[in-house]
Amino acid sequence: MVIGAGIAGISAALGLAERGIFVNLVDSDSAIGGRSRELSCKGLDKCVRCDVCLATDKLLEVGRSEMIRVLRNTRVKSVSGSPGNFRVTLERSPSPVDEGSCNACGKCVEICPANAISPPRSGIPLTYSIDPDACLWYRGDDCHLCEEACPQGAIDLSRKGSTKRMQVGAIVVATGFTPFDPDLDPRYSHDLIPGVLSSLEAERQISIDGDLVPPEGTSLDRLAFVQCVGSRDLKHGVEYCSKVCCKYSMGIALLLRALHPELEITFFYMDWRPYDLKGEDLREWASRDQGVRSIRSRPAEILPSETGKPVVRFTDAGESISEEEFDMVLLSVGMAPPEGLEDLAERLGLRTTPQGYIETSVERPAMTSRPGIFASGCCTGPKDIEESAMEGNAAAGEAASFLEGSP
Amino acid sequence: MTLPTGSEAVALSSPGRARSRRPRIRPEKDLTERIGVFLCRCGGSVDGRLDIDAVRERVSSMDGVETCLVMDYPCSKEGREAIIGAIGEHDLDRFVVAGCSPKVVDERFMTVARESGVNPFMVEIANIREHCSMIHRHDEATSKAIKLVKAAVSKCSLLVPAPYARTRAEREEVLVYGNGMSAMVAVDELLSEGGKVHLVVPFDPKNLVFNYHDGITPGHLEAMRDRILDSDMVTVYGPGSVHMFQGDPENFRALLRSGEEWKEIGCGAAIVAWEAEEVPPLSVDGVNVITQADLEHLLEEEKVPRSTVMITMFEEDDPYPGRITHIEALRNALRIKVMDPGAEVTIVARDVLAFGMRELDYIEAQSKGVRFVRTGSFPRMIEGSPFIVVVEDETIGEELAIEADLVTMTSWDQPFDTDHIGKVFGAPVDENGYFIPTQVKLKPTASIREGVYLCGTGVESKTPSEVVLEARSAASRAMTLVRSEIERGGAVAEVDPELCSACLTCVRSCPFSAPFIGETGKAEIDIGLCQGCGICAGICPSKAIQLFTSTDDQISVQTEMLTGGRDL
Repeated sequence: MVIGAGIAGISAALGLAERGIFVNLVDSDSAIGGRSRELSCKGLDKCVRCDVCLATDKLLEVGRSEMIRVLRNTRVKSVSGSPGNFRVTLERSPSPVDEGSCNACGKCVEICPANAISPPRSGIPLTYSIDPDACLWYRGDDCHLCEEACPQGAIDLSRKGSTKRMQVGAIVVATGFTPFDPDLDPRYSHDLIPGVLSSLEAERQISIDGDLVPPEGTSLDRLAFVQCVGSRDLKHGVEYCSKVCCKYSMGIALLLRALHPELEITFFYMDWRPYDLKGEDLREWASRDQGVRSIRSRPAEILPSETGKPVVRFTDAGESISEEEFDMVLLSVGMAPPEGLEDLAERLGLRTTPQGYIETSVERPAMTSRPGIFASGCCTGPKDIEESAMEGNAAAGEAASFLEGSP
Repeated sequence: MTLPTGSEAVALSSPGRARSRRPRIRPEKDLTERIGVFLCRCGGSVDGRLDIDAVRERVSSMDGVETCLVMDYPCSKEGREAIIGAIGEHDLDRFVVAGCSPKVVDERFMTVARESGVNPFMVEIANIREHCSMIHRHDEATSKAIKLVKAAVSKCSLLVPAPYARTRAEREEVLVYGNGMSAMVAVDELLSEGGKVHLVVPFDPKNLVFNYHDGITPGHLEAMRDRILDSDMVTVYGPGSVHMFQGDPENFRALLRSGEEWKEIGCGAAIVAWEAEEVPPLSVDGVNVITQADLEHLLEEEKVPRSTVMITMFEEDDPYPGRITHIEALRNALRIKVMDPGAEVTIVARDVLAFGMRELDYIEAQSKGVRFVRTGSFPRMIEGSPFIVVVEDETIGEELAIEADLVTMTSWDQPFDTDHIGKVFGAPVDENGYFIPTQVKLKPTASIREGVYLCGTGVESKTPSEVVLEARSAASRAMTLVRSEIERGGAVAEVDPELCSACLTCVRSCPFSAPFIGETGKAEIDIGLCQGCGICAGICPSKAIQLFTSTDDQISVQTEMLTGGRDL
């Protein structure tokens, strides 16, 4: 069983399936793909090899594989038994749309008065899902429009959740991460000042609209990136560096700069730590491109100007305090352990690190403190797509040799 | 380096070399040129948004179409069974499915073809859903669907059975060619997965040493090395080298030199686990400059310098040291502070690269009083005793003069011999000598040649713990390959010997080294290596090369149908 169908989980599942081992791929979400679905392509006129599109290819491979059973909307309730013979109880949350009969015709989307129905974000599997927070029926009204509109009879709003028991030989934990919630750091006025977005919100805008969308009535001429939001921040209990933020914000900046030749971009950073040392370097870029500035400072706060635009307050070299107005500010949010990881680790009997991630060994990166249970991806600490895929492979190797009973 | 003598080279290129061997073509139906067309209603997302009966009517009358069925879900179990039934009933040797994207369903319908004795590359998919019914108005969608299906049928009528085969690697052994830590870890992983290994090391393998440990338990790597060298499952060649590496995952063959002997071995996969080497920093007159590794040795001897300046940048215009630089600097700085809290340590850096959890070391170093100076310009050193390091601190905008009795500088990481090794294994290297992997993110460790995996600091600068992960990942992929089915052939290129003028253009332009000049003096394509990219087909000046599933004729007839060239 692989818990979590993000990049690491999918890599592990595919690796095991290729070796002829049957995999139950469990994810609490209604579609597979994990966080990679929320990222945007960083290319414009040519491919910059950000590889976000390739994530989709991996999803398709899972869809094709006959050795992988995908269990969506499903959480692990309990695990008993011993390595080689785990007894797992899974809890499936109520999903009113039947996977077997929904064919994604879209009639329910057209008729829903509450916009509660959406197509699967990753396209795998091709089944629509209903957001219980928005659905009128879930909220107590007597609305059955989608049930009536579905030509397949695939929707039954009263369908209950269910539990499922199974026996598995080995478990790979790949539950990913939670992006730092910028609302936890009120100094940066996320959600309070229009134009202050988290980097993930920005990626979502770019993948949907192809560009950043400035607040109504403004244009996008001056953009700032604030690095290390929810990273290297003892006040918020995050001691570590999230590794990926320098890299992705550079990707977003290069894309936007290419889209808008007049756009001025300012980076507020502490240390520039590009994951990929061969990639574009911020300071070198700033010295070559008039429209790009790098300021080594962690801004103190973001305030609204008289016109409602975000103003960044920061200390420059020489201890002087400055304020600058921007049209938009992107907060490069870091990674936190995934929700419920501590709970899951306890149920599985795994040790965690003081930072709240699953403990693994340096020598055997997929090995946890318990035999038969392996871990990969960001649930063992922040990392990028490449490293997650590698850990998924390594976990597949470990789990396969465990199951095959090799030395 | 000695190359194989005449007879050895001949031995390697003897008929056993199997270079131009064709995959076995399975017994299939005789060609009848009878086409079946299966149109998918897709539960209303095709039917209802376009007039599928109109499409059926227009397509049924095309030449060669024996049957044209409108179905609810051809991709479902029932649908697939119905297709298999129709193939038998109408004696079809090829078919077209019109429905959703081929990316989603092609594998499924190729399986249907295999099960019913049809060549799986005689199947065409027309996308009348995402590219048609879901984005156009009803009447537009109908006429576009007619064009798309007609184009697919026309192409299908020109398809020829492509050679293909599903095989397994003949040999499970994995060849590991390496000079350091990643090779050891890769072999360790292969052994733990029950593999057999040929390990080639360019020097006496007993001399394999590991400079940096980076949180790895001391002695762990050394114990691993000794275990590997003693293992019955590993054949060690050292000092040795790999001179030729030919074939494909079904049957790779490598020519090795081990000591004075030439050896030929077979294997199912190879891992090139090459480490870049350290180039020591330049010395400065009158200044005591050493590397972090030297400092580590000093500290082991309990010689603690009173004042150390660690310069973690290069004099040349390159701000980035390797990924290990700051980790080693922080580690040694902390060791100094533990041994002598009064000792002064200054780390000069443009940015402190303390990725991920390494930040914890950085925080500890700060709390223990290690001084960090951030600067974009390389410090000056003034001779003397103690000597003075002058550096501009950017954060406070002032120049500092630091007294020091020891300076550490960063050594360069430089991959050696990778150019040569890359040529042997068919893995390209970049201008700095680093191997270029294929899709870095989702197929990490894969090279562009199927069956050859890359790891180690010869690919990219890495910390030892990253090397461990990468080597295990590479080994795990290699084991998966040698133990799973390999599909060969299909969408591959073929040379028409009548047209080929043996100009070598294809041989030079193929990224996978698939074309070669065969015994007849004409170009041939090694199907085990061909990836079907089509570069040779496009570039051949004699137009002698065609891809089985995209010949010029097939493409023109499709274009004609789509642009309304005839019969619309």
